[in-house]
Amino acid sequence: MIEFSITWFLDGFTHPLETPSHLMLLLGLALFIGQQGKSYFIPHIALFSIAVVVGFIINHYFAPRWNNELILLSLALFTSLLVIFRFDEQSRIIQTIVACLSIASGILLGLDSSPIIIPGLSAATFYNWLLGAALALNLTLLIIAIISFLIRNLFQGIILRVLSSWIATSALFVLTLFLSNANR
Amino acid sequence: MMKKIALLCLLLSPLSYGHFHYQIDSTATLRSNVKKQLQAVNFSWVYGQKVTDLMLQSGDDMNTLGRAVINDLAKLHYFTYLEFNNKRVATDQVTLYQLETITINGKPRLKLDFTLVLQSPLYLHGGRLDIIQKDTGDSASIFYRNATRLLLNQGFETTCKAEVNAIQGFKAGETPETVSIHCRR
Repeated sequence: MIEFSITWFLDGFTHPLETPSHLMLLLGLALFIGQQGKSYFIPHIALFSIAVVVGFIINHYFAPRWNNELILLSLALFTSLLVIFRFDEQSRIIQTIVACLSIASGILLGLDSSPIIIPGLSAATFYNWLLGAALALNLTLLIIAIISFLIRNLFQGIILRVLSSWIATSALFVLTLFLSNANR
Repeated sequence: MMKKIALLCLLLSPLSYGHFHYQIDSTATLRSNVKKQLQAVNFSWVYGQKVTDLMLQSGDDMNTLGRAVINDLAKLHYFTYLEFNNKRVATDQVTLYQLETITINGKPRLKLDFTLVLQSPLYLHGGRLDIIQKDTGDSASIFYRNATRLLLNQGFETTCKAEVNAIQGFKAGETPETVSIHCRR
């Protein structure tokens, strides 16, 4: 029987919130989903939630060793740029892009969330940590997407575009620092 | 504005390493056979306070917890690889182990003793034995601090010299030191 552990749950919960690349992608995607209006709001959030679990499973069984950080930051940058350009939300292509980005972001965030395994406590730490991380990822996306949805037409949508430009700039900065450190 | 964002990014960067980390203080003892070949290495690990408290929270008795620890460690190769002259030394599954609590500064700490037996005994003369200890999950860092934590018994104390060197730029969860034993012919 696996017992609930607040320590490991909180450790997992704070992981996406303390990891810049995770936070930037979550914010960028949430703004993008919120900007698109209500027609596909819930399906996109649901796609993201399922993709996170798929990412956890792939990570657990295959543990791919590619550079997730680089992909996450690039995706955050790309998503934020799409919000800044504010394409026609009714466009089928844009709705497809949002769906693809929700799936890709969910899988990548799930892949980059490796729970801590302490020998002797593996089962307890593993499941509590994953539960915390999954809740944090989904709640952050949901709350920010709802706020974005509510303010998407405020000042002709400028607020979301300005916020996205900050995310894009931050992602670009961290990406630059990351690449310059990698080339040392 | 750009400067503020850059500063924020720099401040946030260390947080990307925000996983749970813990320390283990290790002592290693080299065991030889009658031919003065290396037969086994006995490790004694004292867990850090935080991880000790977490493990004791489980409420399991020492035998159950010890079995769980060693079974999980077996899947992770006991965080330990031995290399002789840069070649991997094959070791058996651990069967000799003991988990107990000791008291340090009035607080209980977990101490795990286990023996890693070599599949084939090894002459160390004229070579270098490296003890590489790494947690693939990047949570545990195993420290020796200095060469006195490497105990060379009668088979090696006259011919071998232990060396522990700190690795520059070490980050929590990574291997903090290079640990080696140099033996002359």
